[in-house]
Amino acid sequence: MSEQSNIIDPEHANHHIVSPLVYFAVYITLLACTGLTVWAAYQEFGIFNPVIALAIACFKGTIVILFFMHVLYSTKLVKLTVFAGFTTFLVLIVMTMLDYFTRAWGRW
Amino acid sequence: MDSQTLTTSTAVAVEHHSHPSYQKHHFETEGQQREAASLGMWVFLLTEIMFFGGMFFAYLLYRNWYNAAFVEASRQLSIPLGTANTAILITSGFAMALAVWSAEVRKKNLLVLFLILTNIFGLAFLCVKYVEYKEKWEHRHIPGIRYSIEEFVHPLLKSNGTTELEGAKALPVDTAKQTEMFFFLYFAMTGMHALHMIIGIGLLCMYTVLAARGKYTNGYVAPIENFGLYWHFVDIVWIFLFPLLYLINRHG
Amino acid sequence: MSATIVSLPDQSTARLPKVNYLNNEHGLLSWLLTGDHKRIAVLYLISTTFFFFVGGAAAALIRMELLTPQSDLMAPDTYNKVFSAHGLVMVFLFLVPVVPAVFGNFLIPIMIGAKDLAFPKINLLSWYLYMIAGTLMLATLIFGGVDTGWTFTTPLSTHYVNTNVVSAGMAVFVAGFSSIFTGLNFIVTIHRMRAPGMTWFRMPLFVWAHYAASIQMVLGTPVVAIAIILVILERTIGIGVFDPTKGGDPLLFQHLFWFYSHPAVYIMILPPMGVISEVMSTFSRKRVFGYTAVAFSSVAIAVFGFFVWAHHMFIMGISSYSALVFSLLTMLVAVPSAIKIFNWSFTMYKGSITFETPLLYAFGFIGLFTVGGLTGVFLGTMGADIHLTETYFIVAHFHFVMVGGGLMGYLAAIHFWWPKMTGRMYPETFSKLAAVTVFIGFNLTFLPQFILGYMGMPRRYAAYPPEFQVLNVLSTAGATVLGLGYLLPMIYLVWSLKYGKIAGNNPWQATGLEWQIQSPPLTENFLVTPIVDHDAYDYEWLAHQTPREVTTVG
Repeated sequence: MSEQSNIIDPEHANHHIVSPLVYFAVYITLLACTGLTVWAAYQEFGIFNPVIALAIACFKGTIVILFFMHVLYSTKLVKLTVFAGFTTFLVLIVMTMLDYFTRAWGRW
Repeated sequence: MDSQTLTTSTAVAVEHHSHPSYQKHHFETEGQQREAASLGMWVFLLTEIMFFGGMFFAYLLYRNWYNAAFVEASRQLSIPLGTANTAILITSGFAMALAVWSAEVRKKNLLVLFLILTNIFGLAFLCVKYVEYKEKWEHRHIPGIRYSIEEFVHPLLKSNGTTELEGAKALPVDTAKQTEMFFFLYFAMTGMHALHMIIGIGLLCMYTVLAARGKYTNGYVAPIENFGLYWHFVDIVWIFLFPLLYLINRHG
Repeated sequence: MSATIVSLPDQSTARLPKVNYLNNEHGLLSWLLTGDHKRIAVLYLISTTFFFFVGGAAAALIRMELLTPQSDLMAPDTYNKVFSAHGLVMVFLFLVPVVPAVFGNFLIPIMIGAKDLAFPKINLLSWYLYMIAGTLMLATLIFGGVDTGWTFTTPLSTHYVNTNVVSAGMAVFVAGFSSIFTGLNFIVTIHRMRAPGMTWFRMPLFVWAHYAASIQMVLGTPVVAIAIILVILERTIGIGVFDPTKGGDPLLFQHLFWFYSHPAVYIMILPPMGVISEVMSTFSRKRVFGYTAVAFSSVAIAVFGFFVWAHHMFIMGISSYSALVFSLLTMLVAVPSAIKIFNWSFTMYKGSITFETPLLYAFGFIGLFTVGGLTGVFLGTMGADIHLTETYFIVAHFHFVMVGGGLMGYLAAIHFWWPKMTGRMYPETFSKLAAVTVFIGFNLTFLPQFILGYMGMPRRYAAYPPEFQVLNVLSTAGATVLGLGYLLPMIYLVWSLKYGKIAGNNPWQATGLEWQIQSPPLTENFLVTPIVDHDAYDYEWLAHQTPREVTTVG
C-alpha cells in the first residue's frame, strides 16, 4: 500500500552497505589530495593559488560527504538537505560580500 | 460510509508486528526511526555549517582586506604539523567509516577496534594542536593577550643572517598590527573546531563502552551511523581550515 | 465553493474524559521529566506567559517615562536598560518561541496523525534550554541590565558600555539553541512521521507554516549564535574582530546579526499566520481559498526572508549598491504575505460566518498586519527609510506586525485550542470584551507612533521635544487599555479551568485530526493510527461523519 509507505519504508530507502574497499579508495584519494594541495601552495599560480586550494578542498569535502557520509546512497531528502545547507551558506557569503565588494567601487 | 472513530480500538490500521527492543514507542517501524534519526543529525549538521559559516565569512573578508599581513602571519604556522594533522584526521575519518561498516555487518570486536582507533587519532590531532598553541603562546601571538608584533616588524634571523622562517618579510608597523586579526581567526576557527573534536571524543568514549557491550551490533546501527556523520563533518571543517589558514601564499 | 453546514451531536452532553494526558501521571517529576509533547507545550505556556509579563512590565515603564518630555521618571541610562530589557525578553523569550513551542508542540503530531514528535527528549531539552536562557536573562536584568538595545550594535556593545552584555548575550545564545532544537524536531517530524494517507498537500496549513518557520530557525539561528560569541570574545579578550582600531569592521557584526534577525521576524509571524488559516476556515465553515498558494507562500517567505537582511542597515554604512539590491529584494518578500491576506479574505466569501473570539482576533490580525506590512514596504524603500529609520515609525511598524499580527495570532490560538488543551470552554462574553479591548488599546497605543515617527521623534530616547507630548500621552493611554486587555484572559482562562463549560471533542465543528479526538487528548493521541483519505478543511467529509455519541475514554 503506497499510502503506508511513508511510515514503513520512507522513499524505499535501501540499506546499502558501503564496502571497506570503497572507503579505502576514498582514504587514499584524500591523502593524495592533501599532498597535492601542499605542493600546489609552493608553486606560483598567481591569482589561481587560492582557487586551486579551495577547489581541492571542495573536492575532498565532496568525496567525504558522498562516501564516508553515505550521501550518494541516501534518500533524495538527505541530498536535498545537504544542498539546502550549502546554498544557505553561499547566500550568507555572497550577499554579505556584495556589500563589501561594492563599498569602494573600483578601488578594491 | 461508516468512518472510523479514532478513540475506540476497532479495525487496526497497520499490522502490528513485533518490533526490536530499541525501537521507541512513538515510531511505527524501525525503518522510520532510523530515517528520522538520520535526518535529525543532518539537520543538526546544517546548523553547524551556518555556525562555522559566520567565521568563514569573517576570514574571507579580513584576508582580502589585510592580505600582506595574513601572508606573513600564516608563515608562522608549521606546514609539517598542519599536514600531519590533516592526515591524522583523515585517517580517523577512515577508521570511523570502517566502524560504521563493522556495526552494519554486526562484527562487535571490529567495531570496538575501529572506534578506539578513531579516538586515538582524534586525540593525536588534539596533541599536535596543543603543541602548536603552546608555540603561539611562547611567541606571544595570542590575540588580546600580550599580543606582540615584534616578530613581524623584525623577523627572527638565523645565525647566518637569513630569516628563520623561509621567505619572511619585514612588515611596516601598521600592517604588522593586522596580523592580530589573522591569529584571532586562527584561534577562533581552530578552537571552535577543537571544541567539537573534544565533544566528539567524549561521545566516542561512551560509544566504545556501549559497543563493547554489544549494543550496536544487533541491528541498532543508527547511533554509530549518526555519530559518524558528526565526526565526518568535523573532518570536513578541518579540510577547509587547513589550506585557508596554513597555505596562504607560500610561494614567491 | 460555498460553506457546508455541519451539525455534530450536541456538545452539551459532553463529559470530561477520565483518562487524558493531564491526569494519567501525577507528581512534579512526571512533568519535569516528561517526553509528552502536550505536557511540554503546557510547560512552555506557563513559562512564556511569565516572561510576557516581565517584558510587559518593562513596556509599562517605557510608556510611563514617555508621558513627559523630560527624562524625569528615570535617568536616560536606566531608560536604555528598560527598553533593552523589553526588546530582549519580548523577542527572544516570547515572540520567537511562543506559537511554535506552545501550539506547534501540542498540535503538530496530532495534526499529522503521529503519537509524538520525532525526538521527545530533545523537545524536553528545548524547554530546559529555554528556562536556562530565561534565568540568565533575569539574572542580567537583576544585576543591572544591559543598555545596548536588543540589537547589541557594535562597537557600542563591545567597547563603549559597561553593562551586562556578556550575560545577556549568553541568554540569547542559549535561547537560540532552544529554538534550533524545536525547529529540528518539527522538520524531522513533518517529513517522517505523517500518518498513512497524510500527504504534504493534505496537511493543515498550520503545519506548513511551522515547517517554513522551522527551516528559518535551523538555518538562521546559528549565525546570530556565532555573532554573539564574537561579541563576547571582543568584550572579554579584545580580539579586534569588530574594533576599527585593530582593523575590524563593526558592520560585520550587523551583517551576521541581521542575517538571523530578519528571518527571525518571519519565525515570529509564520506560525501565527498558520493559526489564522485554521481559524479563518473554521469560522467560515469553508476550506481555505487557494490552499496551494498559501502553502507555497509560507515556504516562499521562508526562502526570500534570507535575502533581505541588510534593509536593517541602510544607514549604517553599507555600500549604496548593495542597499539598492536589498531594497529591491525587500519588495519581493512582501508579495507572499499579501497572497495570504487575499486568500484569507476570499476564504470568508460565501462562508457561513460566526463571530467567536478566535475569529475576532483573526480579523484584528488581518487588519493590523496589513497596516504593519504595508508600512514595512515604505521602510524597505531606501529613500524613505533614510528619514524614517531609527524613529518611532519603525517602532510602530514592527509593533503592528509583531503585536497586531503575531500576538493577535497567539491569542486567537489560545482561544481556539483552549477547549482541546484543557477540555473546557472559556467564557465567550468576557473573551469578546477582552478582544475588543485589546484591539482598541493597540490602535490607541501604536497609531500615534506612526505620526510621531513621521514627525521626527527618534526611538530609544527618554526625552523628546515638547511638541510630541500629546501623541505620547495618547500612546500611553492606549498602552494602559492594552495592558488591561491582556490581563483579562489571564483571569478568565484560569477561571475556566474549574468553571468553564465542558468542551467535548469538537466544539467548533472544525476539520483537522485534533478535533476528532477527545479533549483533553490521550497521552498517545490516538488509540489507532488514523488513515487519512480526505483533504484538509473538508467540511463535506465532516458533515458526513455518522452522528455518534461524543466519545471519551473511560
